[in-house]
Amino acid sequence: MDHDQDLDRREFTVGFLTASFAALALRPTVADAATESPSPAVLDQPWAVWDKNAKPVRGGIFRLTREQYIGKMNPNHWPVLDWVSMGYFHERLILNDGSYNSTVLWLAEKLSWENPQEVLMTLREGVTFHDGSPFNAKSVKYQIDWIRDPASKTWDASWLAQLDTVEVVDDRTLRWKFKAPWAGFNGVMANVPGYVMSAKALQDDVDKYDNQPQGTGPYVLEEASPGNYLKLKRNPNWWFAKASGNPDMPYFDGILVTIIPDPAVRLANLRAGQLDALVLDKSQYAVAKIDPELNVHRFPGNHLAALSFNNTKSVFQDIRLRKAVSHAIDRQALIAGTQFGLARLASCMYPDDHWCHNPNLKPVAYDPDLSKKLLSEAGYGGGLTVKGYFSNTTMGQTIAEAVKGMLAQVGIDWQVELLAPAAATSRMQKMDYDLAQGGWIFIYDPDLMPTGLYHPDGGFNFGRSKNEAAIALIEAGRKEIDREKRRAIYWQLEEVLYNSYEDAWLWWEETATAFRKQVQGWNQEGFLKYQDAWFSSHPLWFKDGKA
Amino acid sequence: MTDAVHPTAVVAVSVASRNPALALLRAVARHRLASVGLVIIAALIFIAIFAPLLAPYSPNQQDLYRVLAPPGRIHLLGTDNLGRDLLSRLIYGTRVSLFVGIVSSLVSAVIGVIIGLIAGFRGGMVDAIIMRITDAFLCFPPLIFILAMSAVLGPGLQNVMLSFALFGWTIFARLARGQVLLVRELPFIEAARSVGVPATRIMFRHILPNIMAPVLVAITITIGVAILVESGVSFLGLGVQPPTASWGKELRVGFTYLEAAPLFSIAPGVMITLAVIAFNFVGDGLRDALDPRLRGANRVPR
Amino acid sequence: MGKYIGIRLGHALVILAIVVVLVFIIARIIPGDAVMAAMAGSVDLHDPSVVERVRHQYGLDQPIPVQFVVWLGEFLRGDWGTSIGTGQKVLDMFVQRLPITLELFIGATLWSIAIGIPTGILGALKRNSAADVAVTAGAIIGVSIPPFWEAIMLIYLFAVLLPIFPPSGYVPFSEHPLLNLRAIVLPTFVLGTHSGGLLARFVRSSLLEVLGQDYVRTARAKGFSEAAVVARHALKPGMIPVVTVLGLSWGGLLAGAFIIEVIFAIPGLGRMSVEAIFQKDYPVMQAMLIVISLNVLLVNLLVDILYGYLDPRVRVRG
Repeated sequence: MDHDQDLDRREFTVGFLTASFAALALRPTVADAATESPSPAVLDQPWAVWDKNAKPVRGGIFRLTREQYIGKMNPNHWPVLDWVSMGYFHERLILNDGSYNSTVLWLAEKLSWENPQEVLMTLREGVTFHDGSPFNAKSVKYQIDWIRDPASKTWDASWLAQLDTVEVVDDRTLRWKFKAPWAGFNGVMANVPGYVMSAKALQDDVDKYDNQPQGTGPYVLEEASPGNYLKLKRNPNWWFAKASGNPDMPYFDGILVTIIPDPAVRLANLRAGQLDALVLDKSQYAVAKIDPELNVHRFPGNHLAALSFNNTKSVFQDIRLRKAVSHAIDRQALIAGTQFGLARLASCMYPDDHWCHNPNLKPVAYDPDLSKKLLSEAGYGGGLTVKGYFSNTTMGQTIAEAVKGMLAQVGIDWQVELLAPAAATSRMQKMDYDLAQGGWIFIYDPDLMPTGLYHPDGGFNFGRSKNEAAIALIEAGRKEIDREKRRAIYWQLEEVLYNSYEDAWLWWEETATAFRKQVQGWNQEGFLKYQDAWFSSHPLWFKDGKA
Repeated sequence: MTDAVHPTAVVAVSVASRNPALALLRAVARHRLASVGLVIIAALIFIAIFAPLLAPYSPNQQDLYRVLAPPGRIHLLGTDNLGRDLLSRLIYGTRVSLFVGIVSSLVSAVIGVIIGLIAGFRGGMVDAIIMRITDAFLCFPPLIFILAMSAVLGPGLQNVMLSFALFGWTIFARLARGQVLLVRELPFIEAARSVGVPATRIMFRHILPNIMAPVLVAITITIGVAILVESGVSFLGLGVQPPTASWGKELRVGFTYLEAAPLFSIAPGVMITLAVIAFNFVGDGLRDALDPRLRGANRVPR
Repeated sequence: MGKYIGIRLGHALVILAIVVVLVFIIARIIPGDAVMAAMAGSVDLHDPSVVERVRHQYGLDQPIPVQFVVWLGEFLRGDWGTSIGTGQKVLDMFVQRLPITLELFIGATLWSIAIGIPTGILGALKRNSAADVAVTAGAIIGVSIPPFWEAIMLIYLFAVLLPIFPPSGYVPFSEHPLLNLRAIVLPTFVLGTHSGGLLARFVRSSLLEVLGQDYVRTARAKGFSEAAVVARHALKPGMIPVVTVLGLSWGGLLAGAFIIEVIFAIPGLGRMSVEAIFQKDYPVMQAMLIVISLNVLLVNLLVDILYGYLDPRVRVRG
């Protein structure tokens, strides 16, 4: 998975935003739609509240931009470089709520745990894929089996490792059986494997799917020009519009996503009226905020920025040296200088708005004197030289240089190389570093991040971390179905990692998005409270239906 | 293949004068544009040598609470994205650019001239093969070849210079060879040959001094090209590694913050342009001075 | 003339062969690990058999000379491989982006003619005057300005401060001719100033040479006005180098297009090549290097032949 935080983080957020808006804007046009009333299961939710005074207008093409072209449009194939756009045409079985807990049922209508190793899932009815084929249990089973088939060459197959079988009970019902109690099932269904794809399209031509997806989303792919743009058009058969009783959704006639690599050029385009919304580069926040033509909103992003230690094969086996590094970093200054104030000081892994966040842990204090003391205690009073790597994007370079400067102040020479993702992955796999870029993007189900980073099976460990207590807790957390008990386990896990200075956690993300004044329908409060769910159910529109 | 694009002309063999260097300098200075170029180069060299004295701050001194500051009394040109003084970084960047430019050009010249001498002197099959190889290299636009080589060799200043030399030798090889062809038939060379002077001796002691003039012109102009190429490669992300300041790297970072701090994008570009212009002016002047009858580049005879 | 062409062609073929080998060497120096790392997301690299499979799939387990022959054969047959970065067929990517870059070139050439020829003529006619110095200085400046800086400055001036032109992006001509033209003004201008400067100097010097010729002096002696002399006798022969310069600066245009396309977010061949070089996407890299050098080779060959046709002395010296 791409480790480039600044890219994916922003992209994903805007993608989710747009996907949600898109989702809301669609309306299914089933023949007997007139007689069907909104489904109570949908409307029973706290987030399913729309402003009675707002008068959404249909029309217009919503113009967005991304830094990279999406790449593959099958979410299970590598590389996917734009999850935001992915969310326009693909929807998931389950969504995450305001504390990143996967509790919102979306394409899955009902979910019940028969026992800790078995789940009965009922799918929503009246949903069709863009290619006309029906969304039903058979299609979902086909998709899941396809993901797990090694011949499909999917990158997220291991996420379904705990799954034993998935069986079709009837047209709308599936029985999921696990090899062991699997608390993270909901979370995975709210993540990549949970993006429902048309089984028919996969069967007809799986290679074509990479460039011509068939999902259930509010927008259909109309045209793709690789490296240049994506054109999406409104899906008139979108299920949510009907199910929610908001027939005009989605409001935009289409979406145009253009690829613009440079942040300065992106902002210039927004100002010039060529774009309708933009995830700002943090340096642009101050300038955009005072622009009378723009509405700028700032909200938390569930990404973690951190430094990763090679705990098993380098000098950092000594906890004193890990402590020295962590205390040598002035996190406040880093946030002020490199993030322009747009980040939250991190104590440990889970952000402060995540349901597993442990509020008893405080951010590591900036104490360079303590660092120097620890260094000489460990025998490096004359200086320590360590090597490592960091992302070679402009932001990555800035952070790396800032950290390098801070470490130099206490006598640590961090010989950091700036590498592209491919080269960085190679280093990580070979454990050829002492201190490198760490962190995680898209922190949803609490199991994925610690497994990836601290468990021997994890996709980003490769043996650099081997904390036995942590490993035991990670495995326990996978099996505990009771939410409160599960949360307690993760609190303990954070404490264990925190006390061992397993990594140096820096900050949790924030994002700033600018909209042109014509774009209506954004509710900052609602979004902050319900995140994903709000996104998906509250599409935007243009004032007067024109861009 | 022609090399008429490269503004190095065929120069008639200059008869050794009493003090060629001084006469040259005087002639160049008389040339209006070239004198401007000389002044600029002198200033740049001065800045590079006395950088520690001229720069108000250390180029690596970060101030995270004052990033992208606008120009003011504390920081004349403002600060970069890590709060470092932009003026100081540009001053130190002069060292990098001049160093890269001069070394790249000289290394290319040494390799190229030697190869060109051999090709011209030996003639025949050796010459034909070397010339075809040279032509093959010249099929690639310089930046593209050097970019590809830099990507392969990895980031870092040395690799940029190496990549440049791996391409730049071709210019000098063709030039030297062409010059050798002119000089080869001259009586005193014939004489040396018939007496039995070994080939290498003839090449280096008799031919080489007589072809130095156009080679010098080429070196001067190539320095400008090297500076331009290095800034291009650094702009695209390879080349200089942080925290070293290079004009091209600063320009790249500055572009990201174009609206927040426009000076960050303007100043490095001005420096690059000035340096390249200066070397081009001087190269022009040198060429005109060496052969006043010349009014522009001609084709090198085959 | 035939012999001349024959020799040139022969040279070109030898050069092509060397180029092909060069390109192959450059692309394969890339450590195979780069391919592995690129695959990192889609395969389980803990499993050595998987690594073997991917190696085999890309033919990396064969000895180098075998790889070369296999690759060459495929290339000539039109199978340019599959991009590691995007998964598309390289030939498809190439065909998709070719018209876009071509449009840039045409625009740039038009600009350089528009800039270069009038100023070159001006410089020659008003030799050694202030205007001449301005022209020469201007031409050198045009060649010296880093194109990426010029691009950034123009974007700042004309897209940020004064929103006249769009700051980036590309709209296909078939879709919206006006927007398309508007979008390529800035990028083609930047490319055009570079080769325009070169052109100006060549036009100037060539025209000066012609103006100094006997038959021109004769025309003057006969009493024709200066303007008539220039227009009827000097201009045409003076323009010969224009073609050669345009041909020879083709390579420079190619290099310039790389950076310009990246900055202006134009989805052409240049940007594709830069991304391929950075991602070590060697199938794309190899294909592009061959295409570029073939391009330059052909253009130079044509220029040589043309020059040989126009200037008999060249044919003799051969």
